[in-house]
Amino acid sequence: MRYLIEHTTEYEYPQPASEAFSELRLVPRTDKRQRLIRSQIQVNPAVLLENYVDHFGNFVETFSIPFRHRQVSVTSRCEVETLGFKDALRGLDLTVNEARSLYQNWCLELFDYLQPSCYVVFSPRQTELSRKLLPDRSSFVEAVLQLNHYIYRHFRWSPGATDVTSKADELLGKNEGVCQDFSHLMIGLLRIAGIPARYVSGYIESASDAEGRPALIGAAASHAWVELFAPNGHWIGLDPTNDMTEGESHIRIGYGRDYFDVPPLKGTYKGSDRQRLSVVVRVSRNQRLT
Amino acid sequence: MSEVVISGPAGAADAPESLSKLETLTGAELERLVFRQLEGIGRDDLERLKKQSDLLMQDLGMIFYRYPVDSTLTEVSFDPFPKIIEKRDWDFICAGVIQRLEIWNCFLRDICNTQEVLRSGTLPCRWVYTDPNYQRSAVNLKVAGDLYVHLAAFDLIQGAGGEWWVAEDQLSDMTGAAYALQCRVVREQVFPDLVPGLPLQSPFGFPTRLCESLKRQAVDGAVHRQVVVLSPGRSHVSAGEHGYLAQKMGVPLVENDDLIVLNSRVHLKTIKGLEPIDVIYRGVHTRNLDALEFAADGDQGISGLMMCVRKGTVSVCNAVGSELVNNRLIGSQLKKLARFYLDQDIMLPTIDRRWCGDPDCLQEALANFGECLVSRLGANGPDSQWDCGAMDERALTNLRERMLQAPEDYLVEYRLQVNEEPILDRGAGASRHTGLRLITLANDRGSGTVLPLTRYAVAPGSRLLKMGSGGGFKDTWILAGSPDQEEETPLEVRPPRTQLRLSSRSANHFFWLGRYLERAEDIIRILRTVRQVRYERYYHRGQRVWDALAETLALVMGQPTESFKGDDFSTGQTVIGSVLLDSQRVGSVADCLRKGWENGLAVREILPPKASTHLARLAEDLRSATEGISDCPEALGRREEVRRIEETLMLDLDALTGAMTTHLLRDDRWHFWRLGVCLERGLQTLLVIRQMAFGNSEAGWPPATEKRLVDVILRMLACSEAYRVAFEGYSHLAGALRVVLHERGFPRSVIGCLSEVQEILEAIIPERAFFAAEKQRRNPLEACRRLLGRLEFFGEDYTLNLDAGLRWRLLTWIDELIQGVRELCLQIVDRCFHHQHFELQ
Repeated sequence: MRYLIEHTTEYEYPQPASEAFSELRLVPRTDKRQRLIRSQIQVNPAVLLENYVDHFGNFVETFSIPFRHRQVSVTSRCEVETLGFKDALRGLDLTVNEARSLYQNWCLELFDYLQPSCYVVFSPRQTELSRKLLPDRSSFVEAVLQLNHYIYRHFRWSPGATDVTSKADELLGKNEGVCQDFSHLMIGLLRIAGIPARYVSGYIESASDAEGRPALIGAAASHAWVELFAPNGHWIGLDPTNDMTEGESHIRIGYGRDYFDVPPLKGTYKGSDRQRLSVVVRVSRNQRLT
Repeated sequence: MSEVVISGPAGAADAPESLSKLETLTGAELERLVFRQLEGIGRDDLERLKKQSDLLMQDLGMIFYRYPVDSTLTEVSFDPFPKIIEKRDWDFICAGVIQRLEIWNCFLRDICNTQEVLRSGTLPCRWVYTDPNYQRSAVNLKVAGDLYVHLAAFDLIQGAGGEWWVAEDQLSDMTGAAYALQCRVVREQVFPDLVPGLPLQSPFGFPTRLCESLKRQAVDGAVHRQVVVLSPGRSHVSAGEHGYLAQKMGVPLVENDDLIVLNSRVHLKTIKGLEPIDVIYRGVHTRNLDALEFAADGDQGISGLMMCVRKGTVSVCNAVGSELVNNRLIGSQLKKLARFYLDQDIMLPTIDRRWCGDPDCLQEALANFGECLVSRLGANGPDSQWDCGAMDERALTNLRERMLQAPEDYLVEYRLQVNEEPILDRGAGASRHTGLRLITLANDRGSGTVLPLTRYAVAPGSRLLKMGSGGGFKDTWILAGSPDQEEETPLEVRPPRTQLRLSSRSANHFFWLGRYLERAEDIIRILRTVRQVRYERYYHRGQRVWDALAETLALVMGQPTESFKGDDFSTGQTVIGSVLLDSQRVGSVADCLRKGWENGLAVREILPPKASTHLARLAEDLRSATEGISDCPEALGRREEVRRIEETLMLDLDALTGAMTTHLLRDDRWHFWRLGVCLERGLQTLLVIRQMAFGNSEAGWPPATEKRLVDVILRMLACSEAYRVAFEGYSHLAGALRVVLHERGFPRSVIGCLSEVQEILEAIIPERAFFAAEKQRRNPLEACRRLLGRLEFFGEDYTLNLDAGLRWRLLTWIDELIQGVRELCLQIVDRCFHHQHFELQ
């Protein structure tokens, strides 16, 4: 499936800001599930964009605005083709406990994805929930899909209920949040159970498609979901916000331990701390080519 | 640095040994010789000299960097009895620490690349991965010369059998080099002739070596190899150290805010513009290096620095993420690592330190708690180590509980049998626990420069060696043997380069140093005049005169004119006292002096030493005056008391100005200091005239009052003398105006000040940088020229008789001038300090 994505972020400052430096993680990566066809990022005021590849292999673009400015807008346009792939969960016939012992083979590589991180904290409540949902003897595949479903069913998707700084535990108290909180909670529960999990940042197709399925949640802004490491050596994407496994509608930008590693835009500037932010994301199928 | 009178030891007569004999002396023989020499000085003299040397040590920085009102000054103690190390021992120690440094470098190189040590299971990966100082973004970074730890310090103690143990590795944020050098300076100044003619290794080449090796760390292709020292700010404990090193290396001392990333390069903001930086010697923790990369909350750091490191456009020393080696748990495994990386036995072993994460070890430690030294994992500094033998019951229980809660965070070691070393305590011999810190600079693989620093525990029986919060220091004597052994790699000779201009922050501090001290001086002058005229009878007549005085004072202090409305100047002394000494009062003399002093401190490393001595004295005098007043508030009302304080402060200010004038090079520092002084002075003169001559009088003053008022103006601006030179007879307003506005020869005249400002701006702002009309408008030099033009234009226009119309025009004109000077200040600040002259591309 080919998608055109337009992601516009605008900051406005009541007082002029200066010496701004920002990092953007907006460009989808090319991997075996998707192919980046072209991408373009526009920054206003016009400054030079530079890029690097971070520790997790994500593309990062940076720019610096040393002079005074009252607003910054960043528009990223890109075209991505997502590829169909077979269900990687198939053929995994083992229990959670067995899976856990298999992870020993990747102990160095997976270490980080089993530890608490910035947004993923191991609280007693989560530990309890994790024990309940991911019991040792249950089937691995069933248990993780159940967990995905559980989060979808128990928590209400409600933009504005939380903000970007919310940790996973807050969701348990409020029972409502956004995709970011759902993912953090799920990552926490998986990691407590000894299953390596990481955070994926990306986009999701918005409009209901030709087959008449309802629109997917999370399209108005950038989306986030979870990947867990299956004992067969594959990372498997699960989207608790939509109760589904990662599919052709998901467009991946990058991954990390949690939101802190892959925010779409982060930066610093000097000036007043009141700023107005607006984000518009549009994901549409490219009709010209199929 | 204060001057010290040196008196040679009295017993010098029996000292002269022949040179050849001196060279063959053993350490023990030399110790006896030194002791005899010190005894010869006599107890009282020794006491006096020791006090002097303590002060000299304190002068190094730490103490200076705290506001004198802060009374929690810590003791720095200097012991004249040197630590003597024989050549043979020294060679062994050097080889040992260089080996250690190499092991650590191998370890970091490995961790930042393939992590063989973890793959092979030599170290459990949990130890490394869970360490908060393990930086994932440091993995696979290119590091110039593959040197991760460039400069480190190792703390050695000597066991009872003469064997050496490493008590601590200080691999990141090493401190002590400044103390090591200062110890030698102090010893040579205060006790110059302990053993005349003894050949000793000199430590003074160290900063040069450091600078050279930092330059070698520059990434390939860097032309100028510009080095900066990145300091965490002057409130940090090691601020003195960083300032000292920067000063001795001749490189700028910068803070986070001075650096900015643009086009993949780190730039220093200088008054000329942005200058690319090649090497950063950092005194800040990795997590404060890059606000985006590391800080989850808070905004400390230079955003984008890590990107430059990744691109290889800047080198950071020690390498990013090298704090990992502070992990004491990994440190305790160094023997294993030596085997793993170098296949060697370790020369200087770590003292036996056990991990409380092992339950047996914890049990044993708690059973023999009194014998233990406890240290916390992954932490450094004074709050991470405890000597259980020297703690009281409550602290012990507290520590025990913390250890039981998180045993894996603690390490214990048992008291080692160590020899105490001789020191002089109140003029007599005593002994204390002593440790040797070796500051090691890695040059290339397998070689290095080592600088020794000897510290001792000040309290008898104590085993803790401190530095960040004071402590005891000694000079260290390495018996050099024959002097030509010191030959090292020759220094690289490079063609001279254009001098890096002053950094914007430093320029800003110089500017405000000038402004605040000048303002303080002007206020004192006005206060003095107010105090004087109160006793001259004719001023009692009209409230209007006092109002004018009060309003002028308020204006000069930067306050609204009605600030002193309720206060009675004609009788109340207290108001004057509070304007002088109440530091809570914004714009008071104490407030200005404190701000000026803070600005001076911020650039201490590039201030002439004489000037910083005078600055310190000024702060000290201010402190004692403030303290005296707070002890006895009614003293504020005593005329004599206030007069004395005024005089003292004026003298200090004069001395400071003198020191600056005598010792400061006529470079950027001078220019910005003068810029501050002249702008403030011109502004104050304008303000005084505006308020005194035209203030609240639409109609003007009655002639008799005006005559006296003019007299007051002349006194306030200290220009009676200048007036008499230009005019004769009684003082009249038009004449006074001509002197204070237009008389170039009078140093406080507005035209004099602005002319100097113009000269300075011509020197610091390159003219051809501005051609577009738009830019021209924002050029401070242009603004200054226009201002001078306006001033001269009106100059010919007024006559000796000021009629009402002319008076009104003069007032408008002066108001415009005041506005113009204020705008000029803003333009200078914007252009030179905030770098807002670049335009949209």
